[in-house]
Amino acid sequence: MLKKILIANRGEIALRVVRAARDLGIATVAVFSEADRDAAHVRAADEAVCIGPPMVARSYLHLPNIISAAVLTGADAIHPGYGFLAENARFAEICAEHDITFIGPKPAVIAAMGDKSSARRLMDEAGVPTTPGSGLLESFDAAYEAAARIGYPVLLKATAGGGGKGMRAVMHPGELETAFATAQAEAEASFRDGRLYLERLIAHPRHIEVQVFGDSHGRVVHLGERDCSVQKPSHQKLIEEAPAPLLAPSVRERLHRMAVTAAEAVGYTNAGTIEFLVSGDEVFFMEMNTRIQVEHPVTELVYDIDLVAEQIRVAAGEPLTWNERDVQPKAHAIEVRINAEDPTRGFAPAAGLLTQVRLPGGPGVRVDTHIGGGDLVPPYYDSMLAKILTVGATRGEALQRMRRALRETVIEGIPTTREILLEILDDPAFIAGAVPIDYLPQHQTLLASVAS
Amino acid sequence: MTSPDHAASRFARVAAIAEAFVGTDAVEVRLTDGAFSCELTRRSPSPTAVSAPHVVTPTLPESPEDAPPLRRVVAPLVGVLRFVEPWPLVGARLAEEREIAVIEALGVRTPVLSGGAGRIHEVSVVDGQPVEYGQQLFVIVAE
Repeated sequence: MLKKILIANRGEIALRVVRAARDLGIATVAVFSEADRDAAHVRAADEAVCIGPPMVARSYLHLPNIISAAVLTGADAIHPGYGFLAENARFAEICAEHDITFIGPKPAVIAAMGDKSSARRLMDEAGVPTTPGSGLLESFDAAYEAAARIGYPVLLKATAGGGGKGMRAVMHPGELETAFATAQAEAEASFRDGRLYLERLIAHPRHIEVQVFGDSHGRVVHLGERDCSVQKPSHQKLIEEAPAPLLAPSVRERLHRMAVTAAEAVGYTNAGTIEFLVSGDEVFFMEMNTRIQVEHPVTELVYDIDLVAEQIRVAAGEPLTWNERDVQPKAHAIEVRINAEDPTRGFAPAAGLLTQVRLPGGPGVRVDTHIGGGDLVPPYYDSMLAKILTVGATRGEALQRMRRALRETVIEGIPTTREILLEILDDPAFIAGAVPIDYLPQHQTLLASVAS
Repeated sequence: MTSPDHAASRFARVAAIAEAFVGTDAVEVRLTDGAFSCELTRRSPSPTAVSAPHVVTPTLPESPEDAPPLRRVVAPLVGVLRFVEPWPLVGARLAEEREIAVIEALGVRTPVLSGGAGRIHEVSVVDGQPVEYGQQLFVIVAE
């Protein structure tokens, strides 16, 4: 088993990994930037090493200082969390070169699935359906021809992309030239890789993803799906739940089977997520995330399992202790993201002093957070402050508990997403279930009622 | 535009930037984000240097304005610190800028420079010690 894990991350996920490691009796090392000297993950870990100034390029993305900290503290493994270096194949390779176990899949798999055009090709070969699309687009002319062949509307996407960056919906040929230029510039700025491809835009799809897990003994299993269709206009998730409501059993079964096929096709190990677009009976592979996801606790509550602990065991070479026949969904769970953002101003991130923080509790409530009253939210990092989860025997019970939990929640000092989440939870369309990914952008009245 | 809420959030943002600024070596920071812009300048000498331990010694004048500037030499990266010959001991005089130590990390040796001439006022580390980013290594009195 592993003896000491360095956590190359911050915020709630760093704290989450400390907790899983401690439950397994494994020591932990936190790394932190100068802006995070008093952060919760630094206090929680057994040891902590300052790795740089606040800017992420010189701290949480700074490979040499992170590896050096691992070597100096004698850590035999690194957990990358999500974001930052979690899907950086080079980082996983460097860990291996220093005899440090990277808690995640093999570097070659990260690279293959991280490049979206390469991932689509692999899925096509494995027989997992992808949206009709192009290869890499060498020029605007190539994009123009590909879009004409596929048929409008189309979606321009960055091959290095994620989080909606470098993505543009194009309804008519006349919009393509501007969209191509802006998507390319945005991708270049966000990922230093401006390469684009395009695919057919599926009208009003749902975002449904499947949690998969592979061990180093060749077994791959799935842990059901999560519906993440409530997204900000920037395509970032705001609410996630499992099981997906109102999903035809045949579609659900097909999603699960395709996710396992996809993971097996690339020899996947550790925790991963296959994201699909679902439109009626049609199911399309969107992308694979080769890491633990923000919304993993939804699955943990539904299956009563610790996915981060399982990641650590699998990274240490242990076989999976269960298969999908052993684990059946036991409940309905929902997660909401409390972000330091102002929904009335396009979800603009906010930073500053949290003058007061009171978090919910009671039956069926779980809160994963790194914040407390009196904390300063630094302006350099992700705006997520807390994940509030509720679980119930039915979806109705889980939603009712979430309304209660959000009403108990007090976060003062900076704007948050709490009010807009409460509006959504009371909205008949959301309560009915099965909303598409353009649900929130189409419901400007929800934003208006928060602003008033 | 100038509702109390808006002003409060703007103030919080400036406070957050200022707090982060204090933790850096930067002398000046200018930030513009849409309509929001702010500019922060640090008074010299840096407040962190003045608050360094053992500042007041009989040889130093009472008035902070007349005090010779103290320079903190901090670790530029995470690694193992090694002194270089001649060993940087308290009281040692440095006639000019020179390498006083190196930090070894992943097989690479990065020099630690004195930042100019002066006298070593404090040695905050020992030879062979692991150091983290920004850790104080030496305090030097400029002469």
